Amino acid sequence: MIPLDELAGRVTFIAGSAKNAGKTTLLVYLLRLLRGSGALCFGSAGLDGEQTCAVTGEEKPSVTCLPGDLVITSSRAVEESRGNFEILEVFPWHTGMGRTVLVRTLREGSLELVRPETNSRLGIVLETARALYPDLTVLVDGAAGRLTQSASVLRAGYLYTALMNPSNVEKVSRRIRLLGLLDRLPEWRDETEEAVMIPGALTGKTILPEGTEPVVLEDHGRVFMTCREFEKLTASRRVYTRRKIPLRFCVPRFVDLERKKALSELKKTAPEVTFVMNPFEEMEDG
Amino acid sequence: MNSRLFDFTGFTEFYRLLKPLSPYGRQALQSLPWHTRREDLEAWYDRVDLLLEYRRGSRELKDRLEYHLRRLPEIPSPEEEAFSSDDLFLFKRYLYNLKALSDLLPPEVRTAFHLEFTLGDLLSRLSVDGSQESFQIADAYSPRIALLRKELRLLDQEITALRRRRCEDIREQTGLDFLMKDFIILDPRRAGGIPTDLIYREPYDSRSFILRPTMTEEYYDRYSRRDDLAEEELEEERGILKALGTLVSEHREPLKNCREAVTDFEKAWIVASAAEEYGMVRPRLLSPGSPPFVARGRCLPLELECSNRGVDYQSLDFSPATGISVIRGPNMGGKTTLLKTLGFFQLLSQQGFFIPAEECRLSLFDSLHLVAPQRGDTGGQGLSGYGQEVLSLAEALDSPGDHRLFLIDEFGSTTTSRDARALNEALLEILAQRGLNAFLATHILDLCLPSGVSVYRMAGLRQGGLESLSEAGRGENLENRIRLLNKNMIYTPEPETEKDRGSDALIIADYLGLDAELLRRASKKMGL
Repeated sequence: MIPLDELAGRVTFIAGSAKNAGKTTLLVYLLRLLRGSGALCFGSAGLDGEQTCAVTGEEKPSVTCLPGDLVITSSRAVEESRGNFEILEVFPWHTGMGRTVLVRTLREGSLELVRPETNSRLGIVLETARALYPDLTVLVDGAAGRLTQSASVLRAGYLYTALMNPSNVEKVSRRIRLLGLLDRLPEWRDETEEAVMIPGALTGKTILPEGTEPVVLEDHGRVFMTCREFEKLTASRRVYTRRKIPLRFCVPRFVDLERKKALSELKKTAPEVTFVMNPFEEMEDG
Repeated sequence: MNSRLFDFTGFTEFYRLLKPLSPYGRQALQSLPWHTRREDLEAWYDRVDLLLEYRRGSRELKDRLEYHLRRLPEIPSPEEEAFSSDDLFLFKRYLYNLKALSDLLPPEVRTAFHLEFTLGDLLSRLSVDGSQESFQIADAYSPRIALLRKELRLLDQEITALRRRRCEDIREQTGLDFLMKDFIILDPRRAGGIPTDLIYREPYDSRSFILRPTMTEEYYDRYSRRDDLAEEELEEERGILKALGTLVSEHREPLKNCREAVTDFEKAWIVASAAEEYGMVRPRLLSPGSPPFVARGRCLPLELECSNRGVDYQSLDFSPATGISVIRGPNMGGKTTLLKTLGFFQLLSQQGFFIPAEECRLSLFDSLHLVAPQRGDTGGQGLSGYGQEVLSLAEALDSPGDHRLFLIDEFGSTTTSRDARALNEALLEILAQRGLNAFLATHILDLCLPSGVSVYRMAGLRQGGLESLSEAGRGENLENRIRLLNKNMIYTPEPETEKDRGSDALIIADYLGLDAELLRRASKKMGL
């Protein structure tokens, strides 16, 4: 069951293990659940709302906006929609589809979610929306496999959808394990202790100075290591983060896998992570 | 005038301190004027004075005005042929805040800045939705669109009800709940038992099926009808946008004038804000060519730098007798600082700002020129520092205008002393002959000066300063010794007298730690 109190009144990015992991589908479902429990805003960190996936050709769900919904998109997307919208804010920069706008839905219609072109601009838009509605619940459909956009917005968290099949289950499981470990990193508060500050990306090739000083990341959205590499690091040094981006929960989407068994294995691999079963599955083995 | 001058005088740093509130303020700062006519600048200052008086009134009014200034968006050019909804939003927000701004101003300020609000009809037309700063193509724009939307809302309700009923039927018959979901993934055993008239089913993976509810014909009819009406609505909206766009275009002249007025207003607001924040006063403008008068003048960037370094800043008192002044004095005695300060004040005034001083009087120039050694990269032209100085001077002497001000810092200092003397003397003669103004800093003693040139000397170390330095500086690091040096210097230019011919250069060199033997030999050579 989806823990809605993890989402209400907060900004949450929906990140995924790959394209078509089910981010937009989950977004649409969550919107239906959350409507009626306060002001709701959503947008995208990638072009969405398309009828078919440009990569696989599969039909993609459109994003339907209902009256009261606040949406972040572009002016041209609004003009082309069959819905009816009130423009609350126009931002001074342009996307490939017109200016970024924040709109309120007046009459139902499906809408393309066109993102502002940089993460910091998305942050500005979200702050503007929150200034209008302080208890706003925000959901952002993230780009596949990228957490970095979460970091641009303070106090944001994320949830993770994982598309798992026999050929990638091991890899995705390790990735989720890594996310769990990152989620548990303590926050760096002590400005007096000597530490190795990592303002940019931390990768497997990052050379750290010798010593025992703790390593402090800006946020864990900039960690581009394998799980093994990260575990090796944490075995030898204390690691902290200046800014936490909480992982609210993970929704695995199993394809060609026995659900019960796959979930059980996943929980063993990543015990720190809260898993929520795919709400669209009503399987006997799940 | 090039960027070197702005950097040299610290105007670039001052510029960075300014805080425009709207895109118009930013544009105003990007195109600061160069006032050369006294009456124009006085008229501008009069308007700034009006704003200062207004600002001293109610704090609340000032805050509200700044609030509305901040909310002014950049509007599209009214010359465009068509406008989209977001364009119209911007026009509406602009007009709303402009009106609010205008309403907050007293009549004399409104008039002085041409901020009388005359676009009420356009604002009204953009506000038929009843909102202040948002925008929608409201029903009130067209009876036809109101009707279409009414029908669309009814259809939406019917479609929702039909879907809900269908989902309830499906749930009753199959136990599957599609109310919140567009599809469900089910194992083959259960999926096989679902009637296909209710559900569309296809394989999801090797272990499951994906099921979607089928809808009734009534539902699809309504959907189709809705699509048709939505298409009509879109057409109607386009018509409304076109009409509103035409209305905006009809107001292009007043919109253009408004824009200029707002830019002008915010420029004055920025000047007034800076005047309050930094204690700046309106300078008295003198007749062309007159030398300046400064009482307790502060070069803001230097003052800030001193504050950051924990060093006391000394304000400037200076009133040269003639249009050309030679400035001499000890090393680190403030000659260059004096040039920077005077240049800073001149740039401030002629670009419409007040002056950070207790009192300031100055005249206006057609242009301002800097001739100074270029530190660091000389721009890859293959010229030496001296070559750069010569080029700068040549350009400056060739520039047009009867009234020009030159800031000359140690011209020819990298040539021989004989060449430097000859060049400086000749330069002073030319400047005097042409009636130009200048401040020329130099180390050269006994320059042969034409008439109309005054000589000043930076006061240098305080009485007892040397002893104080030697005592206090012992054992201190370089940064602290420089701080002590500053503390014991008097940075005031005074008319030079015969007895001011000594040099503190060796004293300062000793204080800063130059080799003692070297200093002893130098002293001997100087007969000291």
